[in-house]
Amino acid sequence: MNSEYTQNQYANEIYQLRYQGFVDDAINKCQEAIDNYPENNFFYKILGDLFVQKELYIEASKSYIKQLVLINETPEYFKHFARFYRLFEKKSSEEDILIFQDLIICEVKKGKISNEIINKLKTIFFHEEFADKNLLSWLQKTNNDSNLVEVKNYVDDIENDNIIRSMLTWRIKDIDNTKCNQTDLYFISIGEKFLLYDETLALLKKVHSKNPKKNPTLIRTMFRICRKIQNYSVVEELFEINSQYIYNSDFNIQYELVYYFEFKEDNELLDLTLKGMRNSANNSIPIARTLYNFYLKFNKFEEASEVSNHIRALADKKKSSDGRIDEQIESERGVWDKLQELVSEQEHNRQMIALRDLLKGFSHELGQPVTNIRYSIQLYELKSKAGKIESESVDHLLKTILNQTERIGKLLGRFRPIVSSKSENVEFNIFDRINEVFENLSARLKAEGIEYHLNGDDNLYLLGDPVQFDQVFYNLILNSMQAISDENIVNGEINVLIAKNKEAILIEFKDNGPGIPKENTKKIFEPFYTTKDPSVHHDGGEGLGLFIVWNVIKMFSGHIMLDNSYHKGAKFIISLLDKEDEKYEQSINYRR
Amino acid sequence: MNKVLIIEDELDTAYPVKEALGLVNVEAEIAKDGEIGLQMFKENTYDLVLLDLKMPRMDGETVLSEIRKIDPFVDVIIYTNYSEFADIKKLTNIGIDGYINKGPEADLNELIGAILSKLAPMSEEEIAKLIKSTPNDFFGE
Repeated sequence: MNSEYTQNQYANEIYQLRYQGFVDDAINKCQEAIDNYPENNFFYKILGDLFVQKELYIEASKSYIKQLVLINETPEYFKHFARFYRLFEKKSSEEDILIFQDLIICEVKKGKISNEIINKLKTIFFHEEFADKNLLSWLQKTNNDSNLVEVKNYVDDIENDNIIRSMLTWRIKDIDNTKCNQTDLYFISIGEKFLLYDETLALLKKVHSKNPKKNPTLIRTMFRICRKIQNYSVVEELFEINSQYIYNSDFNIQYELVYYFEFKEDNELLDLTLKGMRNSANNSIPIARTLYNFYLKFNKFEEASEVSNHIRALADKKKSSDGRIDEQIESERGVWDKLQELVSEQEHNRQMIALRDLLKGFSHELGQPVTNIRYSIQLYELKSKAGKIESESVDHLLKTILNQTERIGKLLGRFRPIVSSKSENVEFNIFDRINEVFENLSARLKAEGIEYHLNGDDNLYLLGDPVQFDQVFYNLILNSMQAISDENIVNGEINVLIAKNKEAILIEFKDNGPGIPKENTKKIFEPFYTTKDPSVHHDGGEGLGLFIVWNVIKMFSGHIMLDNSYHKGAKFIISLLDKEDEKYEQSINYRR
Repeated sequence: MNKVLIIEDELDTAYPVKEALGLVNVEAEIAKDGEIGLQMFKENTYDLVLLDLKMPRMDGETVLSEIRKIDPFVDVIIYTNYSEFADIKKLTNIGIDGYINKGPEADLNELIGAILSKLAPMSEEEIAKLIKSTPNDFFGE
């Protein structure tokens, strides 16, 4: 055979035609190339892609099958086939997919596909042809519950996911024809154990749709798997999950509903679910203990201690019959006592982790603008080489560089209050300093429609650097302003109250913004923790504000905590050591 | 036409990459966080995914695991700051096809080159290999 064109020339020509939009011409050229070089798998791949471009998926699939039989020597090109298969699956009917699979199997049967490629095929779809005789006989055995014991023994020795996956797929395909509820339930548990969540969910869905009678264990399993994959679309499709659903569910499902509403960030229904569980906990110690753990998890300490008392009461009732419960309760009391100790030990660990995270976050934060500058310059060079410089390109480039260096400057500036060595040590009036911060920001506060009130003792003094002290309130006020304006709250309000008790100076800072969601309360003081959109860096936004606040307060030997029980906005309580009172010692550290 | 999905929260980084890919006729789409990226990956077909590691809402590692569950074969290139270098080993186990450094070593040419070498079915190297694997009498001489 002779040809004027080399493969490379064909490839280039097809490429040109394709990008100029002459898809039909490209197809013709590609077919010509195939006539001349029928052993080159690339031309089949390209032909397939051209058909895809024309949305002729069946045609494309035929071309790809030819590609498939030519890659035995170069199995690394299987990824092209796999990608096409995935696309075909999305674009085609179930029937067409089965036909496609059969065509592939046909080539397998003809012996045209190497074992290596067959093994790869097995990972993208299951076909009984892939099963050896032995596996096939086992697959058939799963069609009848009477073989269950035997099947279990077989599965017990299997460690290979693919075999389990085949068995699940077999069950999913077969479930309409056979009656084998026990076997299906067994495979659901096995599928979950082998982390084959997609297949297990598909089987669960089929079993559920076949049995109109509600099976709480199955539903709980469905929720649990959805929790594991962090995607609840399957259960949301099947059930209407509302307050009624909570009431009608038994404890086992409610348990999963807690996680569901946590995932959905629906605190109202989460509380409702916990309330529902409280009823179930009336007579059951294990349920009460579960509930107790949930309350701890969600920082509901009052409720937790109520349940703890309840458990004790339940245990007292059972006291005579079972001594072990008593021990458990004892150890639980111990846990409460030890909590205090743990906090300080954990604090040290947290600081170490925080320091590492700080450095990691810092280099990442700094790396971003550096990357952006380099990319922008390199893009300009590339454009220049390609002769595609537009008139605004240079302006744009320079602007990007300036913006990014400003970003670096801001980032460094944010650390100044912590690292500054020239800090003053003077006595200053707390009320006056805070008032001045408010006044400096008053124009912006007014623009956002936010009122502020500063009340309390105006005759309290602190020793230290007043400029650093100001940073605390700049950061807190700017956070509140942003939270209030993000939520479009009309009558925004910030209230600060200064008072003194026996040991310390207390400053209460609260706003009527959206508050801080429960799940974030533990992290807000960590460096680089942010909920703000990173593409909008107003006043920071890189997650340093509260970290700086916390550090400055520490320098003043004080502490700051978020009041979790306050629900009308965010409320912080700062307590500062009154220098005259030397006896006061920091007993507990509130940073969590 | 080749299509790349850029999952990156820094739009100032993502856009130059997208534009540079445009210069070599590769189409690119940007997802500005992991969740959106995963959603786009589920709904469309991409030849390659360029994945940032540190992102809000869903980090790159989670996105990678999810992508691998859906498609074990699609090319995924990680680009990351050197500070996260230690994580690369872990990611290799999940399955990545390459990584590129950001930060002071960031090089757009290198990135585009890495992407192209994954995309182009007809690289020099591969053509040479192909011709080698073709029977000698194939060209009739």
